[in-house]
Amino acid sequence: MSAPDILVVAETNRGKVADMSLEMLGAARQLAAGTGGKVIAVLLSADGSTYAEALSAADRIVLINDPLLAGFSPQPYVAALESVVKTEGPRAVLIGSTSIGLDIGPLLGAKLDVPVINGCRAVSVEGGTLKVTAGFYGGKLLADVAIAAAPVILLVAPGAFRPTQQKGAAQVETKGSPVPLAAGPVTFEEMILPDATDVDITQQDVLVAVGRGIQQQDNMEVAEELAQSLGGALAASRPIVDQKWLPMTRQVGKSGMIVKPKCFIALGISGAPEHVEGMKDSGLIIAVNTDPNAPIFDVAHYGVVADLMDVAPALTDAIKGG
Amino acid sequence: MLHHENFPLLASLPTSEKIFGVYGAVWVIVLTMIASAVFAQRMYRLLRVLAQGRWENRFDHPGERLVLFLKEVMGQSRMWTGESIINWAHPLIFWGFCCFVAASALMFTGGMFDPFLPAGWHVPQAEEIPVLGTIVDVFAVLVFVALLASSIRRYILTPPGLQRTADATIVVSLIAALMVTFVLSEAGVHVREAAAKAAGESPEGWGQTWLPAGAATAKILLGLGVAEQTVISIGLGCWWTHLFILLFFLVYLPYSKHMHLIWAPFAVFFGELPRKTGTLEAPGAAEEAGTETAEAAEPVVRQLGAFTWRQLMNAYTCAECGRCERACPASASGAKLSPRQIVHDLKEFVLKEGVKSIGRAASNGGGRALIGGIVEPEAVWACTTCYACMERCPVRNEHVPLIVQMRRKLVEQGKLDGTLQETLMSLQRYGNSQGASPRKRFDWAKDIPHPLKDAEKEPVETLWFLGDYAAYHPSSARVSRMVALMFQAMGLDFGCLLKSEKSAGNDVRRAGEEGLFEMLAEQNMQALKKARFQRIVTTDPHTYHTLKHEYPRFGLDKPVYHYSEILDEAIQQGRLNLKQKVEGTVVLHDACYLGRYNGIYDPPRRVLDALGLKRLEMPRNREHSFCCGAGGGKIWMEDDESVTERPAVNRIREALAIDGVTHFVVVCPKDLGMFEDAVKTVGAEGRLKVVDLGELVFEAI
Amino acid sequence: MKIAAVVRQVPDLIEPVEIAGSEKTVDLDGATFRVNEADDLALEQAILLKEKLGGSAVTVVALDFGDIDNTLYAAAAKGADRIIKIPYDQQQPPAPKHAAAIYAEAIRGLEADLVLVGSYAHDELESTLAPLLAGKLDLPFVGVVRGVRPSADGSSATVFKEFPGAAVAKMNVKLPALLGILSADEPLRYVPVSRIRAAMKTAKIEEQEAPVPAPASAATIERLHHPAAGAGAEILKGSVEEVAAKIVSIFREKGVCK
Repeated sequence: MSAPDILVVAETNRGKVADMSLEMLGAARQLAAGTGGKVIAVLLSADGSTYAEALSAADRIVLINDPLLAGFSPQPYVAALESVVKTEGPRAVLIGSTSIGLDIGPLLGAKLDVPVINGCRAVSVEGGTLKVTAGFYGGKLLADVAIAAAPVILLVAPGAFRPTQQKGAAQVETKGSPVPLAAGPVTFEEMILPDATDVDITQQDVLVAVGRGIQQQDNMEVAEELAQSLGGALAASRPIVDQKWLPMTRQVGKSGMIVKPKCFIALGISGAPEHVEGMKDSGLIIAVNTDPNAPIFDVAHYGVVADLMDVAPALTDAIKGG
Repeated sequence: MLHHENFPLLASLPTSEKIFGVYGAVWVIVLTMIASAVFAQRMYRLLRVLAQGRWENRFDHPGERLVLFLKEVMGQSRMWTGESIINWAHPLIFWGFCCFVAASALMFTGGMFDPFLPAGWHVPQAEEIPVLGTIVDVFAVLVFVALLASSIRRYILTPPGLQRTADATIVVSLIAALMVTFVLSEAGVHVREAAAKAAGESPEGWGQTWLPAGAATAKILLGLGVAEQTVISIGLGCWWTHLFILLFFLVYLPYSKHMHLIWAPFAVFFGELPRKTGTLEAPGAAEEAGTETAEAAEPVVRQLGAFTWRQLMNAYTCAECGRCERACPASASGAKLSPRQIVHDLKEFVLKEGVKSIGRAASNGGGRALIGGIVEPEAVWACTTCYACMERCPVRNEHVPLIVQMRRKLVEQGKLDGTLQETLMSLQRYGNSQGASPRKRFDWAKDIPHPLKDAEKEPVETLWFLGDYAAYHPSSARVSRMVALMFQAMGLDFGCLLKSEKSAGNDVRRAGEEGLFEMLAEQNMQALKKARFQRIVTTDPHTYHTLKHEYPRFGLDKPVYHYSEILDEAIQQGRLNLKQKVEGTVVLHDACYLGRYNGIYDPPRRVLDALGLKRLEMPRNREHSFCCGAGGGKIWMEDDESVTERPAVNRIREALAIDGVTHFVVVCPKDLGMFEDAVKTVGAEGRLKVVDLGELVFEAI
Repeated sequence: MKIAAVVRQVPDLIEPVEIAGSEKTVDLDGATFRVNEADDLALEQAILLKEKLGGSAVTVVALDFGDIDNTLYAAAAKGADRIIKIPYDQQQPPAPKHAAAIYAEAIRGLEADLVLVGSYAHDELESTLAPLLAGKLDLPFVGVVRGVRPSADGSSATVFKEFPGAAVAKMNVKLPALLGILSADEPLRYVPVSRIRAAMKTAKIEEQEAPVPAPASAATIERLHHPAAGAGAEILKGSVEEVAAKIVSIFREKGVCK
């Protein structure tokens, strides 16, 4: 008989609690309301004390500190979590679909022999059954899944939930790892951060992003001019960065940066989920694409079905001229 | 050997004198034998290198080949058009050369054997033979003048692509020297015979040959106060000089670009037949995937074997005139391609590495590889396969097949740019270059009132094969819709391969992916064999070309037409009611694959005229049309960084320079997109409208 | 070094995804299949490693599903030494947990030093193959990897694990291990059709049975559905100049520009 609590595995990113974790606390709140349980946030680190405040939406904040948890390594992380889960016996464990979560989620699920659901974007409790809506097939398909067993590991899709404003009891417990941790065969050596000299697109008010529709590297000039006319910067979807037409620091999406500028102009971007994840919270999204069925038009506020090589220069002119 | 008395002018040739105790004739025989041996050995080596090339059948249709040879080699027909000065100078030099071959043959034969002939026997020299002598004499002057003019062109005007090499200078100087020595030796003989006549010894028949140049030169020299004996001595000296120059030439020739005069006749005879213009040969069984990754690792012999013998012959035949480069749209745009340079690089490779490699067994050469090494990949990828180079080349060099062969190698080695790679993967997976679902290929026809017939389900008279761009590209798809309605309006019984059509593969082939081309052809043929139809029509010249010329190999045996031919025919037969008046002043852009490749210039013109439009001609029209830059897979590749002006922009500027033109008419789906973009780039949207022929006809009905 | 790569076929998203009448499974009847891109990159990484390290061999293992033969021959053309196909006759692909058990059966005997699997496949709903397979093979695991450098003695490898914000973690993995590959050191190479066809003649697809029953799942799919077409963007119509003017006025309204 499991407790109705919801466990959230929180993560930090460059010294801050990740937005993903705050979103998961929001999802957990929803679930906990249905199960009548508490929201427990778990953070694995070498020194988690500084993050407690950020996790105050939870009822309990469990900080597991151990030097072996300083840099990510699957084995110690999974071992520590496994022990926490066995102790707490939650109804569900929420893990972010991040590069850490995608490793530990399935590994934890295998260890505990419990189901793992990918891409969760909606959660509810009906009767005693926990239900989630998960997205797969590149976002083209949604599955309504019911899970009777407990716990279930939910890999949560970024941006699917809003962080909750509700504050929890925020009881902090700091302890060492409940089980002795071994370094394991995978060791973290160092984090290589991107080139700090390039523009930080996460700090820009205006971004003009180019995708496959730009076709030729020369054509990017037109986008650059538009960006400059608005005092913004050039960004790109993955294919452009793969071609090395722009550095990785300009990549918007799951693999690159998550951005929330005031204005995001998508030129020739189809709107694949991995990219949309990176920009959907932008203030104003304008998309230009020759394909009227491009998924980008679902997330954009305004759209133009035309050739970006026509629209971008005209827009630059209108901005300068007006 | 004819009677001495009848040909007394040269009575005794200079070789009947003894020099250093040996008859001059013997010297000549010995030297000639040595020179011939050196020449023969070099030619033998060159032929052996040629033999490393793959087999290609160029022995078919000998009658047509002979006609080509007579027209283009003997008649010099390709020299007459396109470029000034050289259009008269080179034919003169060549015809002069032909005459001098005869004269020199007589000179050598006489020089070697005359002293040993029985009394009364003599090998006549050209100067002694009426008419021939005069012709040779006059040509000596004409050739000299032509050399002067062509030297001014080469050294002062210097058109791009024409080189001022030491080789060129040597050759020009030597030929000039030959002409000068010939005329001077004539002058010497003239003076000697005049003196003999004056002394009362005039033999019979003296002066029967009119040698105006020789006589005039003698007069000038004497007039300048040169002593008679001096003139005679100069003449004698020039006779020997002339002979030695010829011997030297014999040895020098196969080491110089001037050997084009030996190879060109063969190159033209074994050249690409007009009926087969632009048809690529199949490379035969796929070579074993080599394990070499380093460029230089492949043995030279294998590198040579990638080309056919006729392709290797390009290396020998090229006279480095640069006409190809001057015609090339890629060169004009600033890209790194010069067709002349590619042939030159092949020549370098063949002459250096090729000749070395047959010296020792299986030697590696150790030098740079040809493809990807000496010839940079950028140069190879820059070609649009527009055929302008081959259309101009006076010796029928085959730049496009060479480049395609090089591309085949680069593709095999995986050295292609990312965008091209994506396109080829899309073709492999979906049968189209657009990365689009094959099920959407006929979406453009969704809303036409009478749905298209499926040629695989019901028999039709005409099968309309669309091609990727006509089906998927927004502007061209719009035109396809109009064409469908027009076909229906004119009562054409037509259908399409609604479920199975894939890209015909013309540009896949020219991009060097031969295997993919074969796969597409086989897949298309499966559907074509199932479908029942009498003929094929297409709006796409690239599709037209490959279906017509390259699909028969896969079993296609129905005639193929371009829609302009069908429209032309329909208008002439009155099946199209052109009731609406269409306004505008139009120019027609001759599409490469329709015009140069297939000679279809008039049907679109007739259609435009039938519409009552005012039609002007582009300065570069018909076979001189300037490519839009999309062909050969270029439309699928990233732009070259070095490009300063895209070919399509160049062409639109040319159109804009014509007074009063309102419409730029194209007959190819790729042209439509390329020129629409170019008009935007130039900012001429209001002034010039790019329109497909079909659109205009549609307006008229 | 012995390297194994797993390659999966997935339904091609270029066509719409159809749902079966029962609304509980995907209707794969009319679907076209293609190689899973992440697996293609895993294979590419395997081949790159083979080319860099002398004396290495690459074995490719795949389920008989979709258009797998073509993918296997293409793998052979790229340089794979052995191509193995596991018989599988179901209409639906196996869920990751089942797939992990099947592949583990086939791969165990290979004694590979490195097993490379794509980090994700878009038809995975419950968990992902790579970490589960690592678990079944009892191999250390790290996923979302975009570069692999084995050590000189082959006992370990440096891997680069992608992190958000264009960051990359340098990690060390003791071999043998299994890696979940996101992308390879180099982009996918191009294989000319002629080489694939040559491989069809020279390479032989080995068959390896791995009969493993599907494990039960504690999660039940109640219903599959397509996402609701949202309100979506307001499409601006008109000439390019008109549209540009409209956008500028929207900008002014929202304070994006003056």
